[in-house]
Amino acid sequence: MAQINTLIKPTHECNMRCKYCFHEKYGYDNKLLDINILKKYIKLLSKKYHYINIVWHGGEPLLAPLSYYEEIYDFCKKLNSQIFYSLQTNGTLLTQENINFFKENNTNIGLSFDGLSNDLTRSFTNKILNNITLLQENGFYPGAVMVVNQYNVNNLINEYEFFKSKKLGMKINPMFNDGAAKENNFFNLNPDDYIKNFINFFKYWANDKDCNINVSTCEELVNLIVNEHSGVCTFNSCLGKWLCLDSNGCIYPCDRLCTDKYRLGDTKNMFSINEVFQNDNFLSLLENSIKKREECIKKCEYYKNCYAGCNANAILSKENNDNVACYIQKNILKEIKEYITYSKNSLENMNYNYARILNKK
Amino acid sequence: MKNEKKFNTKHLLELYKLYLIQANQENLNMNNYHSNEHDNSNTHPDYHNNSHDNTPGKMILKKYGTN
Repeated sequence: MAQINTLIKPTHECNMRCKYCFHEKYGYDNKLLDINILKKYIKLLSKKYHYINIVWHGGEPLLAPLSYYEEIYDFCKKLNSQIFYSLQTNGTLLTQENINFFKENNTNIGLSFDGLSNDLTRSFTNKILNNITLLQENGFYPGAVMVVNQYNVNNLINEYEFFKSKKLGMKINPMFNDGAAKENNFFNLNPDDYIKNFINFFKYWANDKDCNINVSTCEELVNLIVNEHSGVCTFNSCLGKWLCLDSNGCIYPCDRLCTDKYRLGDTKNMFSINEVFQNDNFLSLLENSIKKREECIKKCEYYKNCYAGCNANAILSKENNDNVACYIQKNILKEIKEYITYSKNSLENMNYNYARILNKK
Repeated sequence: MKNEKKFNTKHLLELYKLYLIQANQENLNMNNYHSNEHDNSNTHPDYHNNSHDNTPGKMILKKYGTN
């Protein structure tokens, strides 16, 4: 059955200005995505795909009024496709009213939150923590993405314990030099510091029998090593499986490549969603990705653990003339692979989630 | 419709097949995490590995969870 994942940006506007925000390069225009364009886009998708995963994104998606979501969810209910919804929010604009709506409509809510260092990089810490509690009181089990920068890179274990104390799932992303991070370069992450501290943290997590949260970054790495397979787009041939609808109505391969060079179509001029794949920009992305993979297959022993990684990372690395993402991933995979071999015979004393993935193998 | 006719879709499909085979995937249907057995962490798929803080965290409702 055909399936597609799509990010949708109802607006670029955001009520925060995080110190490393990648979106700064696109700006924070307060224009709202025309709801008729959005309806047309989803309808085009539904003609081809039985399952559609929508991630509301931005900007801050909760700056769109609740009535906007009410109208589009009503519209989607009339389509034949099965639609799954997620919302990625900074957490500041959650209210009992919108939580009720998203709960009733089976929408998963994920947050962006930097834990103990949130005040420094993001702000509104108390408000976000209160809203996390509100989500939990309403039956949600939220998780958050935490960005690692040079300020908090030495504190990952304390951050993890903090997330545990809040029963908040945790995902760790290293900060790269993009968007606002280019101006706030005192946060710039030294890749070697990240690798060293992440490995220490990983071992701490793997040995933590009291772990009460999902730490998807760690679990995914173990999966990549033992199963040589991943469901996340970063390691799983995202082309053709992911699309991004920008607030201007144009369609891109992902949220990191929302420029003319990578534009796959303009919803208002389209008759079929196939048009986003049957054009020169998509063909060029595909050809370049194949070429890059061919190079990786020849020279990298970790190819089967990452399948050449994120397309956008590869493209942006080339444009910025660096290869940080690959360097980090390769070194982390190497260390964790060794650690799995070392620890696989003593799983009974280790983190349940870690042991579960290894035992499954 | 016009655009589709002009484009060499056969070539595109051949390339796409190669792209998937490079990652040990053969399903041209562009399957996603819902059919990936391994994704049992109850989290949303990570659609990038960068700093954008835009990856939803833990799934909340089993009915529509990733498993």
